[in-house]
Amino acid sequence: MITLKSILLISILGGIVSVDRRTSLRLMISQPLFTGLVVGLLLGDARDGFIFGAVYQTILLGVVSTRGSRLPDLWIGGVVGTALFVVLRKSSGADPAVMGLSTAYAVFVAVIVGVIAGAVYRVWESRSDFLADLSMELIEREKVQMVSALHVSMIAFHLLFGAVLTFIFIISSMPLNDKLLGFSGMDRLVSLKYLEILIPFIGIGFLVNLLAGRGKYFWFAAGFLVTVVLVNALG
Amino acid sequence: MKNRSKEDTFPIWRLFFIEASRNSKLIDGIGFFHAVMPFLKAKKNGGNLRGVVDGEAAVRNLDYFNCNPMLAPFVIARIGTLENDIAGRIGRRTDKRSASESSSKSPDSANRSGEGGAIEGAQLGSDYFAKLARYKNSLSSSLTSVGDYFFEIVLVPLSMTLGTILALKGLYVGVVIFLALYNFYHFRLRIGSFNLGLEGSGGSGRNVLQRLVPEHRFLEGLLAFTVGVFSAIVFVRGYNAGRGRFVIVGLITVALVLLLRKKLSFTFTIILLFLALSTYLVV
Repeated sequence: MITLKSILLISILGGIVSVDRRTSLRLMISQPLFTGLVVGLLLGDARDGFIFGAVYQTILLGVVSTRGSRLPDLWIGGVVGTALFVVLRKSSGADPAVMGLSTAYAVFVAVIVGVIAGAVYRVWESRSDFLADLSMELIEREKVQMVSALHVSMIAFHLLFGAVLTFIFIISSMPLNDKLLGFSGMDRLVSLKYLEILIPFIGIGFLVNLLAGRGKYFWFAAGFLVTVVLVNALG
Repeated sequence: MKNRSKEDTFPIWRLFFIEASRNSKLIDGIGFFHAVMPFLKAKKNGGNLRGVVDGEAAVRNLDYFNCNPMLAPFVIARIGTLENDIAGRIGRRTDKRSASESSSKSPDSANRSGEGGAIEGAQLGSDYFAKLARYKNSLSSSLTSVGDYFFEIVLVPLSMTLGTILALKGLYVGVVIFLALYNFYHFRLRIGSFNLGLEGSGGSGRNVLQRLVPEHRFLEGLLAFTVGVFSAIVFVRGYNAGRGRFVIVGLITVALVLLLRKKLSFTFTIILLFLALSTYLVV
């Protein structure tokens, strides 16, 4: 079971993720590789958090935003997904079916949360013109420091935005988490554990798509072949 | 060595939150204004970065701004420095004309020539500042194209892929390597581009990148090599877990990503393939 204190701490992490992504801080502490480990530590199971973070990260490897293209908040989704993954695994009693289901469930929730959080943010974005109007009005009234304060206050807004969304998503997903425990003993779901092996192929697709047309196929092939040879040689 | 006081040290943290107040009207204009403010204060207060802001300069600089945030510090430093240079130049020219005319005429005509100098200064100023605004926009555009290429296409995928390779092997050090590699270049570009802007060197976007990260072509090759390594590891893992079956599923998945990305967004591609893979495993 997850405590309120843990949920609050994870929500703050969600807020930090939002600041990292939305304010151009971009220290990359929003990436699932890092947040997975932190969420795992906060929930007392760093290993599970780290494993899920790594698997989820593989999907996002080639997901990049260029020329201001919009992406869903898949990174906040990663925080929520990791929390649900760790909690479900801890309460599963090592049941193979629930363990298998946990990856599928957490990835699915993470992506859906990302889509919803992205949509909520777009609503804010579509109404954010008032910031420009307000700051221009303040400049005309020579209240320059207020414009600066308005800008800085938006950092706090992003922190709060991410934290509140993370909190709401974790709280509302918990009942579903409990229901999934009812799937224990279902042999058919055990094979879902292989998702951890198959999901990274999606990441390869995105990365190859990113490299396409950049004329670096030789280096790609070199990396691939050297690794295959080394793996075979070293057993 | 000169001791730097609080008053003449640029508050670097302002360069890190440019997109915080993003909106569709000015894009990152408020963030730009917030970052360039210390320069406008210096203009008004004889070099003091923490005084009052020049009112006209404030109105001028709260404008549309859209630039890659990692290289935006270059624009901020250039525009901030040029604002002050232009103001100084106009002031000197206006003073010179007033002085030369007042020395040869009566006190009354000297007053009139003072006004003439001010008008000339204002015209000169509006010309210069219009050019400065155009320079800001073209510079931002060229830096965005270079910044997007280096950060989004090369650095982020490279550092993430390296970190993930290690993480898939269960090594926690993957997180450290990922963050260290990324942030090494991240800080080098953010702070470095700001310093280049202050020096007035750098030129176009491509030159800024070339000066700060001369090895960017090598990093692009390294990314391709790393992706190759990552792909091989994933395929070997697939082969070990499900033999040829998983390798074929993997190949189909990669092909589907390439096909779907031509028509669908990242999100739909992920959801569709994720559901397809889950269904395959259960059924």
